[in-house]
Amino acid sequence: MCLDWLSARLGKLVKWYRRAFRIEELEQDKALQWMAGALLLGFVARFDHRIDSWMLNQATTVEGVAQGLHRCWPFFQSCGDWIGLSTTPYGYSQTLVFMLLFGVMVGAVYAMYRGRWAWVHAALLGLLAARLYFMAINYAYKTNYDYYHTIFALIFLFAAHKRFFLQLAVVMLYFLSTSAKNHETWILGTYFSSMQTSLPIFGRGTEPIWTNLVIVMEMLGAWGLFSSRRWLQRSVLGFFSVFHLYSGSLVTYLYPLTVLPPLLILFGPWFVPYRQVPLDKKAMLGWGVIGLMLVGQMLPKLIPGDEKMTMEGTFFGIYMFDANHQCVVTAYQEDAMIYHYASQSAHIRCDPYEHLFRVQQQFCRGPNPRPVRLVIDHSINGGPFYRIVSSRNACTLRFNPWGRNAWIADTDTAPMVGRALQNTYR
Amino acid sequence: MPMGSQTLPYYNFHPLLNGAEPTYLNAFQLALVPYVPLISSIYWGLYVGVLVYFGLTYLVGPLWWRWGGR
Repeated sequence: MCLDWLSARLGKLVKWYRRAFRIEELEQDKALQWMAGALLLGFVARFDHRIDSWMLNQATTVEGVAQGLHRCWPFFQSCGDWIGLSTTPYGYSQTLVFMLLFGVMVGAVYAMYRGRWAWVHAALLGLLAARLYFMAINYAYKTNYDYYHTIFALIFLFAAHKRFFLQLAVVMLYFLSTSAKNHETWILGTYFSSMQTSLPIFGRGTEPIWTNLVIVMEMLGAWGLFSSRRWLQRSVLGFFSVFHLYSGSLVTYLYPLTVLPPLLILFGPWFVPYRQVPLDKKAMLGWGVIGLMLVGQMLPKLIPGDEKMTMEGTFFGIYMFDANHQCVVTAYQEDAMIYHYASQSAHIRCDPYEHLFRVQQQFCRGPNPRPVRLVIDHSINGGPFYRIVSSRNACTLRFNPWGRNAWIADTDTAPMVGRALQNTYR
Repeated sequence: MPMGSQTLPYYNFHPLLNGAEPTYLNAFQLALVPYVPLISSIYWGLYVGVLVYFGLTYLVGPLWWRWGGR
């Protein structure tokens, strides 16, 4: 009733909206309608995930900015000026915003039930806008599943030929991830052999078999998802479905929740092989998104050095399981330790820029800050700890997101300072 | 012990052993080590090959054909 009344009042706007965002594609395609549900699931999972929740995160609050807990992107280092919410124990505005977004999700489900796909679209558009805002103000919200979900949402909401480009995005994400895996980490399987528990189910000593199988399947096999040979298409779908269920035993629910539903919806029973790919003018936006994904994945490779050690440029691309990381970050002011961070969790990336930003926010404020000595020791895949950062004064350092940073050393120049023990994923 | 490492209270960080560094590579991985550059080159060749093949077959080729190639 309410939706009918609103649609009648907003007649011209609704017509424009339907045409601009190609709502008829949603109305005519059951797979896309289910994709709307998959995207909603992704929003729910991300906004209140038990391990890394966006709700209640102090890093996106006014109080977090005051304490230097926020983390801005290198391109947007004044992000603190755009943070205006508070959360417990200081206030409720952030949790209220997330509950408003939850209301939008519930509204989207109701609109789905009523078959009002323009309203479903508008609700998802609002949720994506909120997601992009929070991603813009927090450098930590750049995990691989954030990229996956955002790419799916952008294509779903804005592109023509939505189904095709969503399918191509799934395949491209598998394919592009292999550029990060083409490294000793995955060729030898050292990511897993340097963990105390190695791979789930499969025994120690077999790591290279499984890691190389994944590389080959993601690089070559994934294209079989588009095959018109039913046995091939179903075999590849089966492989990746099992792969996501298996990998969830390490990464928990969030990644499979983000990827498995789109995979099954887009390549499951509703899959129809294509005779030709869309190449009309309307398809330009979809191809643009795919092109940007390709360029983003190439950028870190254009920066000299091992990006898994320096982490330079990695935020441009998909770097899932790029390497098994361990690090110790310490900052001193006149020989007193003022900042200490240590991680043995394989999945925590130990990004020098992130720690530099934090140290600068916490200790380099004011017109004449006292010098802060910053030391970062980083080990990948159970190898030695290299002293990749040893700066006399972190307050004067600047980070260049597009190229090499002289203050971050690679393994060819960084001294070895320690050895790592086998670690754990979390 | 290298300068600085003794100040790090982190249980997974241990002093160097003067060249006798432990390795977590098993026999299979050690046998593969010499072939890592070769395998990596093959993967890069396949990666670029896939992009070129699909790009030419499904994108550049049809567009060229449509916009005056014939």
